[in-house]
Amino acid sequence: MPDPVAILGAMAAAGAVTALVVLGFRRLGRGAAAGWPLAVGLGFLAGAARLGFHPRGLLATDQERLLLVVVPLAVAVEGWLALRPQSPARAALLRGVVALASGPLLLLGSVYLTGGAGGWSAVERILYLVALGMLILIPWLSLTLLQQRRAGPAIGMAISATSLAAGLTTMLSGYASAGQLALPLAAALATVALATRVVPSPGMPGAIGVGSICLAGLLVIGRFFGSLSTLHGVLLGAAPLLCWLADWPPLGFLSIWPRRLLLATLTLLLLGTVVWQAQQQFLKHSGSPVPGTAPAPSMQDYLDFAR
Amino acid sequence: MRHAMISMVVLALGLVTAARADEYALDPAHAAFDFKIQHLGLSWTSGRFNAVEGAFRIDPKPADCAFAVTMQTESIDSGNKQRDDHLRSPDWFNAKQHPQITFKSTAVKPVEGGYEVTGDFTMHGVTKPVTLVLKGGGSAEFPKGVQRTGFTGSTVLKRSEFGMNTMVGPIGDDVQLSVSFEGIKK
Repeated sequence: MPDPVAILGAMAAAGAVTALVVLGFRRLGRGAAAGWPLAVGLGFLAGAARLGFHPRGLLATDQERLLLVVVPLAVAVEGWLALRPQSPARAALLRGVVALASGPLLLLGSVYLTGGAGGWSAVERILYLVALGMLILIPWLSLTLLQQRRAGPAIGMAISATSLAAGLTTMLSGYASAGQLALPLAAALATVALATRVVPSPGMPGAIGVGSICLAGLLVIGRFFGSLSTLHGVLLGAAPLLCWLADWPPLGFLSIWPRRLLLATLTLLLLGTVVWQAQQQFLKHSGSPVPGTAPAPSMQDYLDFAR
Repeated sequence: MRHAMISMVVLALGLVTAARADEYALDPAHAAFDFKIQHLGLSWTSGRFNAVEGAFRIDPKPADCAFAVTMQTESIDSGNKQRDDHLRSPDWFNAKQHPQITFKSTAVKPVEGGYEVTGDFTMHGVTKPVTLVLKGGGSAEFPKGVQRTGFTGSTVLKRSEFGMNTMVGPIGDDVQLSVSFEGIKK
């Protein structure tokens, strides 16, 4: 069972490491921007370590592949883009490569890629992996773009709240340790979001990028290795995209604060509905027996036995 | 002389028949692969794997007997869907990464009333030798025309030795496995 004290400790560790890295990189001039994606990545890893994540290798489990391969790849890409800004097309290409590689990396060695019961055929494999890559890439690209256009804590807070909801939903869907991992991620993202109010935040788009791929990775392992439903996974993955509504012309009649309030309410309503539904399913399924399906011999077989 | 020859041939045929190994396919409808694990030191939670297949060979020479069983991890059933979902996740059996639990015998010795079977037990991607005593081996015809035999046995495994370390303490490390199965002669 998830231990609330351990989870709070992990969130505190994630927040502290994130804040320390942001502050540590503050005086590095151009290098300061690279500190922001690194801060989210290291904060997430520190929280995971505090929760008892002990890798047996690099690729043995889904969580190892996420924390030790996908997250460092995303941090490397965002850090590099923060240090050496590229054209939008080249930046999108780099992110696209990592997003497309993330699906097969996260599912490595599982029945989805190796075949067998519950696995995918060769055609399905290609289609699903491309779709998965796009589902990881779209929020990553669009949220970093939005953060570049509109500085501030809103997008970071939206991904943080979504991570919190994703953690609770994944735990309620039967994969406790992956769900717990989302909570230090939420803390790391909330820390960078709040830091934008305190210190200059040149690397915030990179932090948003890393946060986005971490969240997507957790949803992928929750869906494919746990029992997170596809609908909940998609809704949680899409929730931070509601931030785009702030720029939606029909809402132009609202001034900035009512608009922000409306968006926050919409996002929290969506996240609350997903968590509530997951909790209802959890309660419904706790204690319901699974009926047996074994075929039985006929009554005549028993009457004829040993004759 | 002719009678003696016929008698010898009949005797030889009988010996060949008696020495022949019998091959059996495991009957999933009459197979129970159950486990039991302690919860908080207070009670035992039990469950089973519903999808099981296998085969075995019973040979007059016990060393030539063989047993092989495969359980589908996804079919775990502890009578609680929520717990089963958690058991299938990477916190426990990691069913998508390790879809099968297998046992293949490597040595069989006769013991009173059955066999002591040692074999490679693979669970959670880890293979370890496991020994259990299978008692039984009687035979029955059921339904008519179908020859059966069956065995029952048990053993204890340490789940942590198979890399399954979740919540060792509150949830016991020792897992009691009990197996009971029938085979249908091929």
